[in-house]
Amino acid sequence: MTDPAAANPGSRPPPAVAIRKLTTQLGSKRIFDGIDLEVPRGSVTAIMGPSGTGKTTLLRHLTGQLAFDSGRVTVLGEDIGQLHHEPLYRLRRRMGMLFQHGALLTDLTVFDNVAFPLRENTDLPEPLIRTLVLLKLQSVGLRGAAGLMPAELSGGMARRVALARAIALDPELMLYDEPFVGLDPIAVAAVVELIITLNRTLGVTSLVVAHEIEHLRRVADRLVVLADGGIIADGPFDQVQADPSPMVQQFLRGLSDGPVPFHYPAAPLTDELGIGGAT
Amino acid sequence: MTALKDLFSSLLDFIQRLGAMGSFLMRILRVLPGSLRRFDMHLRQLWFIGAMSLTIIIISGLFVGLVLGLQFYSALNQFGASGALGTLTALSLYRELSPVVAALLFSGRAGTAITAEIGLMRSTQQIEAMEMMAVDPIRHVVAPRFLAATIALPLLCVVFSALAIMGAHWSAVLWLGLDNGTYWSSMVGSVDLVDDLLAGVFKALVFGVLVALIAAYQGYHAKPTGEGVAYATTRTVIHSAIAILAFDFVLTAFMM
Repeated sequence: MTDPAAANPGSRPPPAVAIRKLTTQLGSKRIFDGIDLEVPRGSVTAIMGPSGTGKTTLLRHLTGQLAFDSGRVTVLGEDIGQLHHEPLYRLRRRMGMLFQHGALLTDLTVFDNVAFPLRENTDLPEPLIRTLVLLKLQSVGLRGAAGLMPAELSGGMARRVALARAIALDPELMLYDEPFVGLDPIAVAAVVELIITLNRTLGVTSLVVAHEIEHLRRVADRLVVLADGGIIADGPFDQVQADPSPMVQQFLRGLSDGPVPFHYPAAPLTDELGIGGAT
Repeated sequence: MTALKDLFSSLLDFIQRLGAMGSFLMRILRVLPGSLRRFDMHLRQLWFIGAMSLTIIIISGLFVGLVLGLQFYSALNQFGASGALGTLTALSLYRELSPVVAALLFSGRAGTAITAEIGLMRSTQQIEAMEMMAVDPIRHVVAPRFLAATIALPLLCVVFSALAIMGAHWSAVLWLGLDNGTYWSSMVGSVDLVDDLLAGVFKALVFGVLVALIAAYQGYHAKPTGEGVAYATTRTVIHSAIAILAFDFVLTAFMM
């Protein structure tokens, strides 16, 4: 992984993301209960956790799409809680997000989808936009698909086009929401390669939310496990996998029962069926 | 007591939604001038929302006119007043029928399309993706559709009137034998451009704003699921119909 600190020795660059005492309540459910997390610039951090523990919510806090109850979230040096409208949009131009299903604009071609953020956010002349779009598409291997509509793409291709679009403005921070879901092994390999390349060649800081530990191990240098409103494990992969906590072990080894129970809370089965030997 | 409480809370809910809609309208109006920079988007929406509604408006207008010709002729003929058929047809169309019927048809054709389209964009995360690309979806998605619907409905209302007058001419003059000259001269003699025709077009303009606002609001705030979009589409038709009829009453009372 690239190390920006090496470029300017002496001064440690501020983290790309800094979260302090973040608390979030959605309806009656407490999602985060005062978590702290720091993501250094140029790193790739994997975020895992059982469903419903707020992985996507965390990403939405970082983009300012969802307000949090208390705490402080700093992204690329900006305090998200203080930003509205124009300053927030300015910050978002410095970040890219890969959505779970790509979220391509269905009424635009592949080319126009990748050109969209460039046309909307810059005053670049059209010939230059064309060059940039073709280069981005080339980097995901889909220059030949520039004229296709999103409906004509396979799931893996759509994800790659979405990635090309997300990096169109050369973001400093990339957020990946379940980038491997529903892809065949070849497409997964392509996405893994792209995440690694982006980080190594451009030093893009990345946060990857996913469940596939074997893929995450290849792209990320650090694993953060969320559960029960907090961070239950954080560190290099080997260290986290050796973590003795039963919750971490249950999750990483994929055991159906453990601290996260297999059964949704309910009265004892014998009571419910009326066949109990109750006195 | 509970019934009263329910009534009160649903009233409160209604007022709250009106407020939310008002602020949604303000958001649209605020970004509308900026969105005009992308004129091609507006033109495309005007085509989809306006031109694509022409078929239903033309066919319905023709049939409404045909029926008016038949009904008015048989009613007026009893009093030997069939000479007033042109006047009656034109006034009822310009003042009431064209704006209201065209708006109701428009909410079914274009309003539902707007809701479904925006709702689907929401459920497939396209709206979110735009926000992430620092593009305001209100400016890019909602404003062009809103403006297109507002422009299209008054025009469609005029088309509806024209076709209905032709329809009435067809049934009353060509079938039932009303004098051609009487039909047209009674119309020309008693219709006022401002009080009748433009008043109706103004109504259509107001209905256009209503349908566009309701449809866009429902789509934009639809639950991001298939079921949510389906519900939102249904609500667009119901809310539009009620709003059109209620506003028609208010506008008519003011214009009298």
